[in-house]
Amino acid sequence: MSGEQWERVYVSLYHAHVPKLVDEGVVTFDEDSETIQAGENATQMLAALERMGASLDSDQEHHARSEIDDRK
Amino acid sequence: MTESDRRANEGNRSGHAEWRQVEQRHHEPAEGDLATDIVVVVAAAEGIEPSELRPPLYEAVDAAALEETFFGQNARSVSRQSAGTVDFHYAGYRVAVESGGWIRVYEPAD
Repeated sequence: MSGEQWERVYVSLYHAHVPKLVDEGVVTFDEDSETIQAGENATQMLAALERMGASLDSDQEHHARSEIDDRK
Repeated sequence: MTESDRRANEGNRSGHAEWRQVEQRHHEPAEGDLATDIVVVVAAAEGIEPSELRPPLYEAVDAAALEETFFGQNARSVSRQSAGTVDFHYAGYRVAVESGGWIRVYEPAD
């Protein structure tokens, strides 16, 4: 990755993506070390993403939909 | 002080009446996200590298939501022709993002 690309990715993460994930409780961010850690909602978010991924596979779409409906 | 005076003062939190434009940049949706463009132009006004600019832009505005409002798929559609400007304070500057794409950065003139 070029220096300029790195700069743009860093800016996008620091100024937009990471703070939003912090607000959603998915990660925590330590300003001094500039590191992120999994937050309270990380497991829940990953599980939801996994279900969404499964629903894109037409074989599992019906299963995923019924599982989501059960949780409502 | 009336309620509307109090609210007007809150909106102008930095307490300046006069501003002068110091930088501008046109946001091209195909070239990158709006947050990055805002950070780049404010950093230019400050005379520093974008990666050095603090605090996070997110503390001032949700740039992703603003990007969706003015430059998203439905900003120019059958149902909507978005036209306007969002004005906010960030890192000591006043920043205006226009629906046409121009980002303007102002510093206090007084």
